Amino acid sequence: MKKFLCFLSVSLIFVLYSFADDSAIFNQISNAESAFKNGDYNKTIEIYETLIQVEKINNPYFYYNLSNAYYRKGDIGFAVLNIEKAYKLSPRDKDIRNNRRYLLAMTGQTADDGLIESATALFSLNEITIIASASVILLILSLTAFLFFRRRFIKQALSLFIILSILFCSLAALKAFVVLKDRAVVLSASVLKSGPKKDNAVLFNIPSAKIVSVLSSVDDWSRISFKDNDIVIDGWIENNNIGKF
Amino acid sequence: MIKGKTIKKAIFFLSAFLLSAALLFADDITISASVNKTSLPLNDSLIYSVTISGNISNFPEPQIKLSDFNVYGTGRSQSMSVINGKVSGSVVFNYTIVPKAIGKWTIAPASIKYKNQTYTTEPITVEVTAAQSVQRQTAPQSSNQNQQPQRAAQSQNGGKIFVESSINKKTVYENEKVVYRFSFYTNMDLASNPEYYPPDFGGFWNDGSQPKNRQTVIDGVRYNVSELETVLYPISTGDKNISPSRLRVAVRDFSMPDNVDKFIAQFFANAGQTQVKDLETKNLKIKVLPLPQEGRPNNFFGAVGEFKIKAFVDKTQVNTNDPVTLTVEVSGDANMKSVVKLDFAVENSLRKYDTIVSKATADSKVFSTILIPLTPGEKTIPQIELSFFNPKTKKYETVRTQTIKFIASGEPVQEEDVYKSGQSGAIGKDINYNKQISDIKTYAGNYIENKKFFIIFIPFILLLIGAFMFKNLTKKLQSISFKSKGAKFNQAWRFIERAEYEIEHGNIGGLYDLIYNALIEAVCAASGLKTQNLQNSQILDFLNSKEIPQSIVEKVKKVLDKLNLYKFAAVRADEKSLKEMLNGVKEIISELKQ
Repeated sequence: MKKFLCFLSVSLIFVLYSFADDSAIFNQISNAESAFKNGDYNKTIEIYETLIQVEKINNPYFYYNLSNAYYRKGDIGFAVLNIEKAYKLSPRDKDIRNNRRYLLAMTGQTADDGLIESATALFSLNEITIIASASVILLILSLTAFLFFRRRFIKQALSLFIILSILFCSLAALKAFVVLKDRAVVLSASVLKSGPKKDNAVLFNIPSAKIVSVLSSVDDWSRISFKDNDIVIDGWIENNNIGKF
Repeated sequence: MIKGKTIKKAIFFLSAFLLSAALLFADDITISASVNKTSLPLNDSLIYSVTISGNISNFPEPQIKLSDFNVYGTGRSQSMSVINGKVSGSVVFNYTIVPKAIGKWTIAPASIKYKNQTYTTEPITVEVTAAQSVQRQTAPQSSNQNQQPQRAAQSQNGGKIFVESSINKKTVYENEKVVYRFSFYTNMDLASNPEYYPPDFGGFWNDGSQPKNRQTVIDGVRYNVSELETVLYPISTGDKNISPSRLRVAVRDFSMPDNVDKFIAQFFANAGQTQVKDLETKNLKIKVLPLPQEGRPNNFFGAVGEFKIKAFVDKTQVNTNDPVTLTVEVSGDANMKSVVKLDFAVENSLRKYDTIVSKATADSKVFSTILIPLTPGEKTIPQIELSFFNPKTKKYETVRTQTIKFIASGEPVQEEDVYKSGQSGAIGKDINYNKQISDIKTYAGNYIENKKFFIIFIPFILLLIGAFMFKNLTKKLQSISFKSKGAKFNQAWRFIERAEYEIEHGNIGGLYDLIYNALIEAVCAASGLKTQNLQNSQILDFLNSKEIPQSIVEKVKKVLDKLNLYKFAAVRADEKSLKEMLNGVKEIISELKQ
């Protein structure tokens, strides 16, 4: 009995502690939103960046609000970076989709993705991974059942789960191909160089908020590429000028 | 079992998917080489071009072998095109090369390696004739060259290299385009590509550099010139200083000491020593003037240069509430970065959205604006003006687009109907407002990247393996020990039936085993014997110990002996003997069952 009471007390302390922790975070969110309403976007950014980077809260709505604050501040590169992070976690959210579309249009880019992106746009990578895993587990279970009960409906279920497993595993692979690609946003207007050194020749200017693919990295430099008017352009940029997502 | 058709369909689907994916990602690369002339005098140069094309984005650099030529410059141009929906790209590597001697020379095939495959070009033959006499010429001195070349290195046999830098204007206005040119002159063999260290362009916006190659003659000596033009825009006024550019170059010096005999010297003609030279240009000074206040128009936003402007719409007939894109293109020899915005108003019956920069290059900038007609009728977009300061005339000027008209038809649109989120291409006026966060759920990283995630499959895989093993084990056990007595006798009768069938059809091959199995199955059923793998003597001993009537034991013994005889000795039973033996076994089974 004593042991039980002791266990209960410890559990309660943990529960209360976690509530206290959450309420502190909600207080900070409230402060951030008040600052936003008063036009103090720097404070809003500071609070949300702290929650994301220090408290390690990986939440699409935090990125969404942070993107709005950067946008109001006029920092379009960071606004695009954070809306892309939000979209990656919650691709079906209407507000996130709308703001992403708006920001991309504003920066002369298009939100219309390729065939693979469109086919997998409804789900986040984790959602589609879970769906694919569930279909594989159901396939295994139906195969197990089929070993013992050779009934017609089990045969049908087995056939269905084979098809679903192939379909969802393929979609998960495609989504992973899209999401796990190293992509980044140019945070401020920069120059592309011919190599990973300050001394290397300047190739092009690249505007802020441009979404690029990261091909490789050497020290503090990344080799990036992007398509401009059907021409693929690549070059080196310092890492502090881009934000990966 | 699963229906064969379903499995075939699944395999077909998977194969088709894999095949289409493989085709989608298949690379198709071609490489070719060409020269701009196949015959040239010794003192001339030619351009050797290697073209690589294919549906890849990162083109590898070709390996070239030009041992009979000196390479004086390289250039690269890349293009992408879409033909019939298929994207393809090509890159051309141009090498400016100069022959080393008279004769017929073959340029060895160039090659590239891509995904463990090597692609090569055809060799090219070039004929080099005797050098044409060079008339004494002076180097082309353009009016905008402000600095004298700084001769920085000279070999004993007269080979020279030097660098110079220049700017096209000494006095410019704020935001006016300035071209900084770095030139590298050489008539010596280079051991490697030179390393260029650009100057400090502090106080200027650097808009990138373009390489150029040419040849020139200075004091009767031909030089190959590699140039790098950098476009600069001064961002503040006052006297500016551009620090020296530096070039580190490794050259081969073929000269021999004066006292060495010419005959000996020719044996060492190809064994030049490599020397590293550091060359440096002079400081350049430039004066940046502020833009005049006098005559500055109200709609001047800082554009400097000489501009042209044109505008058009993507459709001239639309329905009300359908978007029309107005495109305004500003171009010219000017600082495009100084064109920050276009200010224009439209009539009230048009809803105008934010103007965005849809494309920007060094010499043009394209602005796009979405307009939505709210009422039917003819719509007019007034002239759009761009005011700028022209450094050539030193005056403020204004360029205008033409007036644009288009027709809108349909019903008038209520203001609130203009934009619906996610509607056909229309873009909202502003971003959506912040979300009220009520859940601070932290999203996990990507499961697919976490090896621990795949642990969830282990119990199910183990379950499947266990089920397979259990199924097999049960099958084995059911075949012998755990069968009921009745099932065992039934099995014995099935063996007998099969044996009779085999005798009728004259198949004696497996008959002895069938008879033996039938007998043993019945003996196991009657006596409770748990295993079939026993010697005959063990079986008989077991039957004796289980109080089976001696007469039956004797009959069993007789059958077993006969089976041994027919099975292992070179004696072959006829049909009659076999039937007798089979009847004997049937009797034994019947008696044992009783």
